[in-house]
Amino acid sequence: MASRLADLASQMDQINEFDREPVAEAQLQGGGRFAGLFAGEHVAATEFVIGAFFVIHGVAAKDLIWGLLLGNLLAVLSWTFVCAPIAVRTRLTLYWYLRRIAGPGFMAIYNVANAALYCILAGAMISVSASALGDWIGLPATPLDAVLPSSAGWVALALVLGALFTILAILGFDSLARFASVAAPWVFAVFLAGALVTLPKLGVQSDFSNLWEVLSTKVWNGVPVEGQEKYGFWQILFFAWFCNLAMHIGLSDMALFRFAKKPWYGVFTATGVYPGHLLAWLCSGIMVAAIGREMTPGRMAQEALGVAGVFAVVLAGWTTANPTLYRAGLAIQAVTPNWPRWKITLWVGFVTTILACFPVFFLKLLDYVALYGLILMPVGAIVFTEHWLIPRMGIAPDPAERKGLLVSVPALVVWVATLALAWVLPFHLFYRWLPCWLFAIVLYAALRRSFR
Amino acid sequence: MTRWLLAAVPLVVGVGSAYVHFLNNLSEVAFHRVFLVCSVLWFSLSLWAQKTGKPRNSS
Repeated sequence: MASRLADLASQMDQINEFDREPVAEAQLQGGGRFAGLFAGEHVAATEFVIGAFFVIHGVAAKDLIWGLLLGNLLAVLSWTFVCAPIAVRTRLTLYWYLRRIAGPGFMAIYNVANAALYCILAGAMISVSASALGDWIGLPATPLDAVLPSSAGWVALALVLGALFTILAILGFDSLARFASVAAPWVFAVFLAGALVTLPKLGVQSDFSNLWEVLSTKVWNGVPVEGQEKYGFWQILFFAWFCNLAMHIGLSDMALFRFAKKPWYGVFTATGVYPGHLLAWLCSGIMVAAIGREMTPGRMAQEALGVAGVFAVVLAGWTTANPTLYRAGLAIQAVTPNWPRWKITLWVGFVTTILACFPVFFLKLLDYVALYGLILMPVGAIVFTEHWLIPRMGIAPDPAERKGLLVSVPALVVWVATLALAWVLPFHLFYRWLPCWLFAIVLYAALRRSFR
Repeated sequence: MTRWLLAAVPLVVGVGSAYVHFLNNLSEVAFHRVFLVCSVLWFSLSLWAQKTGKPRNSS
């Protein structure tokens, strides 16, 4: 087992070799570059589903707006004060920094977990695209509590789209990535235009005089759809904060911020989260209210924008699934020795396509997003503690590198114990990550002291 | 830069036509057609701008 883990670790090192060294001074980027980089980052297919779910969960208008404003602010502050400073001080990716701290074997486990989570996310995106096409060709809508596919037609559609997305990913990531990058501004325009044309259907007058009244009584009226849990201000605030948890508190975005000249460049994430995680969510909420609060992203976009709306959802699903398939492939490359890129993408695409046949992944997207962040968050807590607290406690940093460890026992214990605590905590799923993050920091510091 | 500004025109027209529809000065069917044409134009022009101009967001 240990030798297998060592082999995997060595393969992973080769894959990540090109960013092994800290970023050089000449490669650093200015703030404008970061503002542009993040601008299109958070407008994706998930936004069609998340904004609509807030309506279905009966959020009141005032709770939603304040929750999103403050929750996104907390997310931006997390990037600015947690992720970016560590990235700027080390100039390393999370991969190489964590490798020093927790060992290459730990990284292998982390990569496999990451790949599995990416596959589920990509599968959910294929499901969203399939649901849009399914509505368009007249397949019955999937009930909100569905776990298994509702019809053979749904399965066929998910398989065809999954196969298509996988083939496109195999054919060439670079050219497709270029296409995907121009899709983001268009998808944002789809949200704005879709909401605007939906407002008259809800009774908003052309001078906007009754806009707030309509929004607070017909869109976010505080009444959940039957059988759905009611969400309030705190759920929204926490959701907006943790929906990119793996990136800020989980420190994945060290890969980007290691190029930043200043640690405060984390504030530029606001150019992405406010359009995507505020405006786009509000727009999709308005659109879903006009179709009787049914979770059918395709129908809601079609009602608003015609055939362009259907293609917007399908395309947004694809442009989100495509880089996710790529990332899953990269993460899994370590455990597939000597496989060519096409073969890895094929297998990742196969698994993703099977997952896409189960609508539960997109119908429970809010919970999945919470779990995704929760699972990877302890790793961020370990790095945070090692970077800021351990030197102040008089303990030598980077134990795995100094001692040549394959796996750091304290890091592994903290990860498992934090997830176990998250499992049993009697809080709403959305709130669990914060006490667990604090727990992970305290436990890791205590273990490092006792293992010294 | 000029190419990107040109490419952005269909997006502005698309969202603008939604506002005209909101003001009740454009039928729903006409708006859907305008938005579809604008979408096709955006992809054509932005891909052209990307191909001939400096790549964006390539850090």
